[in-house]
Amino acid sequence: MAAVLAAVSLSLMLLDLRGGPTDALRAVGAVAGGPVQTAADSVFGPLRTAGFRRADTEQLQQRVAELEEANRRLALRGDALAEQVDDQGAAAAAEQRAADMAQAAVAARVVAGDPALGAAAVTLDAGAADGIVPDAPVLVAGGLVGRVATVSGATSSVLLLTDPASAVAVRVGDHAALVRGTGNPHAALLDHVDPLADLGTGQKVTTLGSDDGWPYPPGLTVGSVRTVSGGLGDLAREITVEPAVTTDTVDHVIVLRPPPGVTP
Amino acid sequence: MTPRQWQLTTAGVCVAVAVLLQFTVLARLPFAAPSLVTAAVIGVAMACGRTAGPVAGFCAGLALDVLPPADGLVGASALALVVVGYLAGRVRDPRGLAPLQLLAVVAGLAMLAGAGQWLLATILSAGAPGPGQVLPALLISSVLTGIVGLAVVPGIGAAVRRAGGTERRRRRPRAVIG
Repeated sequence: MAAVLAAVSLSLMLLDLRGGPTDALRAVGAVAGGPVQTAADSVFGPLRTAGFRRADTEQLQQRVAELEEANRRLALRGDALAEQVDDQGAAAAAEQRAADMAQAAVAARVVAGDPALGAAAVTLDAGAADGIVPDAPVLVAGGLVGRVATVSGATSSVLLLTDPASAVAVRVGDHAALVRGTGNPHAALLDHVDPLADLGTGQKVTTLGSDDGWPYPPGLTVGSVRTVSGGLGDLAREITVEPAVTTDTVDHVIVLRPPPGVTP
Repeated sequence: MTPRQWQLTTAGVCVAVAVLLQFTVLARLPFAAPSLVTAAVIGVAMACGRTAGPVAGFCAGLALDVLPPADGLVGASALALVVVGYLAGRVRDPRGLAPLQLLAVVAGLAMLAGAGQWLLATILSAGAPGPGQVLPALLISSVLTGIVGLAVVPGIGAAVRRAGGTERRRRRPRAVIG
């Protein structure tokens, strides 16, 4: 039995290398497994965060009190501003901008991670039915998280910046370069960078931007230069980037939709 | 259902829960996590034998390969866990093993599975992480798997025996290899 199953596994690997029917297996896995993962996350998810919750309760309560106070102040300010707005055209334009912004992005929750060693990918609980398309950039407030790799009806898979298969064109100062994942969640490699570029630790790394602003708009924060080994002009200089977002603890993300007129 | 069918159903449920926990909880921890799936396959193999072990390994491995967001080589995890299931199935009853022996067996098999998957990914596909990233994580993960296995392997064994109605026999036989 073991020999037969080993042979079947080997056959699957060969078929996968040839790009054959294993894609159908993945599609079945995504369609059937994605919703199961979403349901399982709502059951098992509290296990993952239970320790953190206990440790941070006091800190979170203090934060909630601060936010409630800030919210109260903002509400008062909002009321004051609303009284000042008597221009119906401006109000309508603001409402239209808000509607456009809601159309431009989808909020989603991370429900599963890739258990393979060194891999950095997650499953989101939103998919094609929510307007997510392949290659869409995935963000949190702190910066870029990754891009959508595959989409099924109710879920989608995101390749994080730190995955070894990930590469993003970036700008560091006045120089263009490429950030490649290595499997380390706290460091990516800065590649194809000008050997004469004078780079220092802490320097901000942002997306270079794609044609038509899709999939990557320019200026999204990717991270900052972490280490620079080797001197100026050294062709073997190795530069690492610390991602702005600690991708292994991300829970909620924003997935951008293609702008009007752009076909993904 | 016959006692044997109850045992196999229990084993299947244990492996399925392990797969879901691996994806939804352990894969999202901010450090190298234990492979609960490997520990569950070892537990099933030790409780149910050399035939059920590879079958459990194949099913669990295939689930790890095709469920989102996995994008590795389909069949690599399945092959590694078939081997693990076969080898673990040769230990007919883990109750004869001392805790340290069980920890060493589970950690060793987890190391074998992880190293096998990484080697297959490195040789056959692009985009595999380098050894500098994988080896420390693999070492930590294997030791943690061994520790988790101290609870999971006897737990699955007890559940399977209870499902088969053989829990009453509480003797501690010596481990039989072969």
